[in-house]
Amino acid sequence: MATGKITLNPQRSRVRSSPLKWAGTALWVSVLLLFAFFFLVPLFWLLLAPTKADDALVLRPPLSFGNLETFGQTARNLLEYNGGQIWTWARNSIFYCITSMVLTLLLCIPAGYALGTAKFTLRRPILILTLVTLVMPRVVLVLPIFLEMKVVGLVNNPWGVILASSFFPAGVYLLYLHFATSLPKDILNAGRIDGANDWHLFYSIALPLAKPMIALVAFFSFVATWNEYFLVSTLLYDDRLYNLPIGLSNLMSSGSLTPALAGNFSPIKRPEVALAGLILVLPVILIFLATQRAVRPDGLSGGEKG
Amino acid sequence: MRLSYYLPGAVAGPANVLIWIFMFDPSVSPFGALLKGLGFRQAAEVLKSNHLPLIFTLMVLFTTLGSWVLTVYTSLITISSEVYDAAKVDGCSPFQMAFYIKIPLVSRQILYMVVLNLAFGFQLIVEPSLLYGATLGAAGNPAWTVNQLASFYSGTLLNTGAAAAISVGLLVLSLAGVLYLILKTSFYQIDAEGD
Repeated sequence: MATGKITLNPQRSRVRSSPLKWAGTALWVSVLLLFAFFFLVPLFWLLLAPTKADDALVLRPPLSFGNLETFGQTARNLLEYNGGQIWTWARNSIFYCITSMVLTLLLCIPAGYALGTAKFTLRRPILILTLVTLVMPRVVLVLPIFLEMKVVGLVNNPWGVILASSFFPAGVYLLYLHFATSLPKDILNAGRIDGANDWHLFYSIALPLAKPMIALVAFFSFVATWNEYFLVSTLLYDDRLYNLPIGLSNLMSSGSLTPALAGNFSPIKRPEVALAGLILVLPVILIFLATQRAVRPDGLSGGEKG
Repeated sequence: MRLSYYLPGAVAGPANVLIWIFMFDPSVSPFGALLKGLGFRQAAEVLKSNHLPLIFTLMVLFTTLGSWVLTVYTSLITISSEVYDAAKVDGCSPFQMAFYIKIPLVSRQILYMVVLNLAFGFQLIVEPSLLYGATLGAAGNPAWTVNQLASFYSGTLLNTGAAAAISVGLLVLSLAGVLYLILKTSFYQIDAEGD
């Protein structure tokens, strides 16, 4: 038994210091640090690689900083490659992501809300189908999606990719879980008694309360489309329509990672590819930091009291 | 500290493969000393076929662990703090708190995590194909996973029939798996209710 006394902030009222407790804490901290090391070192390396020339990657210590001049050269090599192709890929990526995120939210929020709060015919089959599409390997769908897009003339058209990636069962399911388990029914009933219609309940009560989960779904959708590889490589064959992941994999597969190969005169070598990887990774990190603020607890406690 | 766990979630697909090709190359990797200590001199020795399952596990773990931490964290913070306060008042130790209160309350999310991770495993295709391409065929082969085999048949051999046959096989397998999870386990309650 611990203290048993009531404090205003129980989180702070830890029982202090026996040696065993310290050993336990030390163990937890070292496990956490070990994982942090595993997560951070590769990212750190990627950040530092473009500041070094290709041979310096091998000759200098792996986690050393090269110099800004070399970084400038690396950046020029990459940005001017093939007439500035990487800019086109970046623009495409941004367009696909934002359009598809908006469509995803427009579809997922009402779907999740309906499945989570209402009873209607076919609700169970719809939920089961949502899970099925979630788990199904995407390669199973590649032929059907390709044929479908071919019929409506959207092969090699950005909208084919946008529409296909706006189909986001994970978002529907996450929001369904949220509305079914975290939205107190009594709040909705109270609203109903006060004369709110279904639209009001959804718009003024459920939606604001679901903000953390909506931010999470928006974030997942953005990351999914930003990193979309499979759909783009299947549906688009014009390299002016490529997004950054396909662009990066083109750069990677051109032999740029094996500098020992004879006849590799391309300006794209390992530091340039590392920089391209960094360009692909950084926006997601930034957006993550921005949406993190939205993922905070909203004060629901006390909502059903009184 | 918390942030360092989330950050790799930003890395996926090609960027992930890129990073780990470097990480597994003893000559440039910051883990080079470790790799050399294990007796590896060249990237090709690390990227041998029988190491690939472990390598893909590391790759996927590196990028997905953070977002799972985030999912579970989000569920934990949406649970009313009154629940935790009540447990504390009743003399609950941090361990009891985790095992008897927090984990049962987020068990749905944890099982969701299991399902999705199985799904990720099933869907492994980008990583093996890219690793194959980027090492110019040194690591793996164009049909290392069944998914790759299907797209290899349809893309390279232009054998749409065979690709469709593999796809249908995969579909039946995954349908059986997911239907079992939905209908035979308590994880998926159609009538999910809040407290």
